[in-house]
Amino acid sequence: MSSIETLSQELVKRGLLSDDAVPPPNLHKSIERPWFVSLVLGCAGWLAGVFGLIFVGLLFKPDSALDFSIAGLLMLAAAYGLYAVDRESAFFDQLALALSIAGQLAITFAAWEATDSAAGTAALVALMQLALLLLMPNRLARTLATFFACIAWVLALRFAWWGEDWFETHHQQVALVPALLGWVVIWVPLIIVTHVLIQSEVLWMARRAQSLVRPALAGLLLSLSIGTWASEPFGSLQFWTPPGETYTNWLTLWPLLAAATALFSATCAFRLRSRAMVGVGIAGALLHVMQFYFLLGTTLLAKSAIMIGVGVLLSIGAVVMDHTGAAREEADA
Amino acid sequence: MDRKLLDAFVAHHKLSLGAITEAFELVRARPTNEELRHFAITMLRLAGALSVAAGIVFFIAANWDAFDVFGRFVLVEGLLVIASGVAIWKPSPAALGRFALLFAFIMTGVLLALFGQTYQTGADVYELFLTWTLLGLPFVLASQWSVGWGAWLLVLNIALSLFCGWRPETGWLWIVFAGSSLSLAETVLIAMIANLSLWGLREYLERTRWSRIAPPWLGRLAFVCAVAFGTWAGMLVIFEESDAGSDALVLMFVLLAYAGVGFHTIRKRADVFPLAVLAGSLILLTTCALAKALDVDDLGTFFLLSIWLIASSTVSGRLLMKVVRSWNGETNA
Repeated sequence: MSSIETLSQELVKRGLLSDDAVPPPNLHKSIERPWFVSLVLGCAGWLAGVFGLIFVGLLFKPDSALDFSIAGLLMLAAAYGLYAVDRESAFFDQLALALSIAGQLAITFAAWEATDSAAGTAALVALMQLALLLLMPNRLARTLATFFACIAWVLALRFAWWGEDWFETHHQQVALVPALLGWVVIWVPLIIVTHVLIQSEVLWMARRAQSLVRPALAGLLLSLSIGTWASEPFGSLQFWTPPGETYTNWLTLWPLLAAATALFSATCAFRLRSRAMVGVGIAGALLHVMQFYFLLGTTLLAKSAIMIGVGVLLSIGAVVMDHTGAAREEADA
Repeated sequence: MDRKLLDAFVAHHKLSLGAITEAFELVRARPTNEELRHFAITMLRLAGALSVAAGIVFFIAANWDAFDVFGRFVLVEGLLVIASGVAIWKPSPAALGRFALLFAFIMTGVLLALFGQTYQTGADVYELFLTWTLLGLPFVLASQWSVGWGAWLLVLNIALSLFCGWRPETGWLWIVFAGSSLSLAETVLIAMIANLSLWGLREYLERTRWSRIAPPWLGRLAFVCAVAFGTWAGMLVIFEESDAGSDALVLMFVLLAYAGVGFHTIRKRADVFPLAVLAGSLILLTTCALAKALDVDDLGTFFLLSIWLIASSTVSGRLLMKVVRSWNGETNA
């Protein structure tokens, strides 16, 4: 007997389900594609989207923000139509994904042409992704929209606060308090939203919001695990300081905070019984530690002291939690 | 129970809040407080240990210039000896022994890098990784641990990639092939054969008492590396204009290998992963072949390539999902 049948029988016994309830038809179709099939199809979709965008560009030769916006909106509308027409067809899924990606790229370019500002572009992209999250009737599209919305939100604040000129910012001296405050303003809202959604899972399932919230939650967990790399895009790409230059930039702490965020994401994934996302969270945390090593802004010796100090505190935390739990078990016994 | 399955079940039966809460309890959709506490303690311990270890690495890196040559070798070799000592004291399958052997494997690579850096032997980078693969093999064998084998496989493939990518025409591996005047495509094919052999070995070990040290993910890793090299070889044959008939044989061999793996996978009816990876590779190769063969302008090329990508990935997706459902049905029956 399948787990679904067992669950149905138990709920009937408890009077929570009528005993003549018909099981969901074609239940196997609610089984999503294995992740590796989605990955192969997704990569092909991305490539098709880029080719499609180049094709549209060569055909219509858009040269203004308006032209790119119109092309982008038309492609997104076509993607929506394809998703809405048949929600279970791999063919339409792929075509829609390709058109959606091409449309998003076109609108992003239009935003850049219109604003000539990285912060402005990121902010508009965040709004676009939120709209796609609400409108697109497809799980993968919503997960991607949430992920990109978080990245865009992060970049918008990062560029707006500390500038977007690489040649200036890479020698910027950011003090400790603004660095910590900036990280809190950028990431804590996303952490709170994730926690609230997990806490209220039963509530939004009762309100039939699974099709919107479940993929959004997946996107949030992905952002908290690996999207944090986008927090300090310039620092992630530089590996040297010109000779004779020294400066202190406490944005260098962001990878460590990002590692903590990734571990939080892993814990959230554990609460949702998602082993894959637990793995992604742990991998994200390890990548952030590597990023911390390379990020400039303080000496390697200072970083060493920070890592050892944090490690000791975490180990003490583990011991305290273990003893507290053991004491509680003894008291209950 | 899979969250998506639960979502579909709840949505279909329009369960009330109380029924959903009960369903969560029945399927243990959430970890208990005790499970969560144990997870948090494990994460804190792991994060604490890794953080301290990273701090020590940072400290050594910060003071590296202060060490003389002798001191550096003593440090690295000392760590290697300590790790080996721990492995002898707590041999595998004890967790401490396994981690010690993995650490010893990593330190072998560090020692070789230090040797190459200090004495400027003129060895190519691929030789470092290849020698690391060989000298680290005893540690991996002693660990009897799939994670150790995974690390070994990664190092081997880095060596093969560097050998194929840079074509150094020096070093002891090149001596092996020097008399054969192999083309690049043929060299890459050899790397593919090496990985395919390892995949085949894992398939064999699955049926023996060594199956626990060769889990499916290890086979998948070797297979992905094999197909990556196979795809590389195929793309070289497609794009490089060469009159050598041997290159056509390379492509034929790649396709035959793919057919053989596909046949084995379908006959085994256990894991769809190899079929998905093969599908991805074939989509990429056929796209490359089409791009090369098309004798139209850029507009037509990008249009046709987009359509081809969508069509080929859609057909692949449909076939793969059909196989997934068919094999899942057989497993559940």
